[in-house]
Amino acid sequence: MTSGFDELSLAVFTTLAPAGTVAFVVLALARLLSRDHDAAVRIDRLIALPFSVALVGFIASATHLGTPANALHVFSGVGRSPLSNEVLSAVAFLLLVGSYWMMAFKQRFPDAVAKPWLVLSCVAGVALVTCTSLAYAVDTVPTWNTWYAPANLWFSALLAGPVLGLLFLHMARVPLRGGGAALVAVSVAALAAGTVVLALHQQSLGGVANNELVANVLAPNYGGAIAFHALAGAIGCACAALSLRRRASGQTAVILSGAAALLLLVAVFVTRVEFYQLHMTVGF
Amino acid sequence: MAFGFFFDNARCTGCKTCEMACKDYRDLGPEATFRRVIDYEGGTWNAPSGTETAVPENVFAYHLSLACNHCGDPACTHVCPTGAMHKDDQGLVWPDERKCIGCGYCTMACPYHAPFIDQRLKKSSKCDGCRARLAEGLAPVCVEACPVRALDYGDPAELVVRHPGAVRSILPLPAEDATWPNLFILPSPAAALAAKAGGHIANREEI
Repeated sequence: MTSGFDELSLAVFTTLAPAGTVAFVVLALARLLSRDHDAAVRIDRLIALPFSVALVGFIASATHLGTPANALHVFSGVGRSPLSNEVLSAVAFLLLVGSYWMMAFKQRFPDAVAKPWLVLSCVAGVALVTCTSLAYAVDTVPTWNTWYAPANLWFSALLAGPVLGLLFLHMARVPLRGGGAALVAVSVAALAAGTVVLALHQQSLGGVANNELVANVLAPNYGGAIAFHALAGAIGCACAALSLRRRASGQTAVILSGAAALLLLVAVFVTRVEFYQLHMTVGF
Repeated sequence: MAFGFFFDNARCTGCKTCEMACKDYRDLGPEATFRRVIDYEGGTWNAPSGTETAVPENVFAYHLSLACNHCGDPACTHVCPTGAMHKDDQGLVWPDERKCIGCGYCTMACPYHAPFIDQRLKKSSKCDGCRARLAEGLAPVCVEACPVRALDYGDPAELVVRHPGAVRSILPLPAEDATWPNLFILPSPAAALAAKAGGHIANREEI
């Protein structure tokens, strides 16, 4: 039996796309609140980075398709299939953000156009993370069809996304004021809440069984993965906080927040791999 | 219209002729199967001591021939993003290869593991109830091949009349309300024992 369900490419997708999306929202908020025209232009240029992170995730997810040539038929399932909803929201988000980034190169790009465009892109981003989080709500898969699955995905997005956004803001040399601390605070809160939800999910597995197995045998290393997630997450958040120190030079801040973003993405990825290992059906 | 299979769990000897006939007709290699025969076993016996021989107590074994059940509420069609996996007007569930992207979502959702990704086609593939044979007025090849006539097919409403006492789930299958399979099983006494004491799939490597 070949499932065709490639865990690794989907783990890459559900790590990168939500994090890139949240990082974009961070840049968009910074751009919307910025009164400094030069800083706004620098943010506009760097929007290519969160866009690329989300795009790489989307491409990774497409690598597990056997016949991508038929992919346009995916839109026929919108509303019925969670996967179609996810693809539609991803395409909408990437189109809006990609076209915004290109349009922002125009010499005259008034805020009256830019701001609604960014707000709409943010809405599409929230829709993308939501649709991705709901893609595993399948009645016949008891380990995925729980509230833990969307909660885990959202907390993962809110763990890695803000720090990734912080990295891009450092790169854009945008004055952060209280914004940097707020981003790290969101990540710390998402780490705490996400770790609790992961632990609750793991605890629940003992009570999930089909006629052949109990779910906790599927991911024997889930506990270790959760512990790694907490540890790497804590170090990542600490690095991100250090990047905010007044003494940190621009370059140091970029290096620290880059290391932080990488650690948080790895922390998320490890738990995503475990999530896909938990696949089972109500049958055998 | 609906389509279903009947399976006589008391008759089946586990010979796998149904599976082989299907493989032959559909030209499937060793890595692929549209129909599988599950060996389900359980129970215990007293260990022999001294001159005694083992005394069977509640030991049982039975076979379950399983293909796609062309369910009333198919999990595969609900999740398929392209609509390739669909139920046709004959009640047969099969993937339209002009639309399938080979994402594997159907393989993940089906609790009977009927669909799989054909590595040659790079698309989902599964039992289509031998729709080409049905169109010619022939029985599905597995039904025709069964040497003990443990398989039957047809309109579910007619199947339940022809085979009174049929149920829609025995171990290790999911409860019928998961997908409302059009599978009607005449349970063996062994299946009744299994329902009480539980058991396990003995040939997992094979299926």
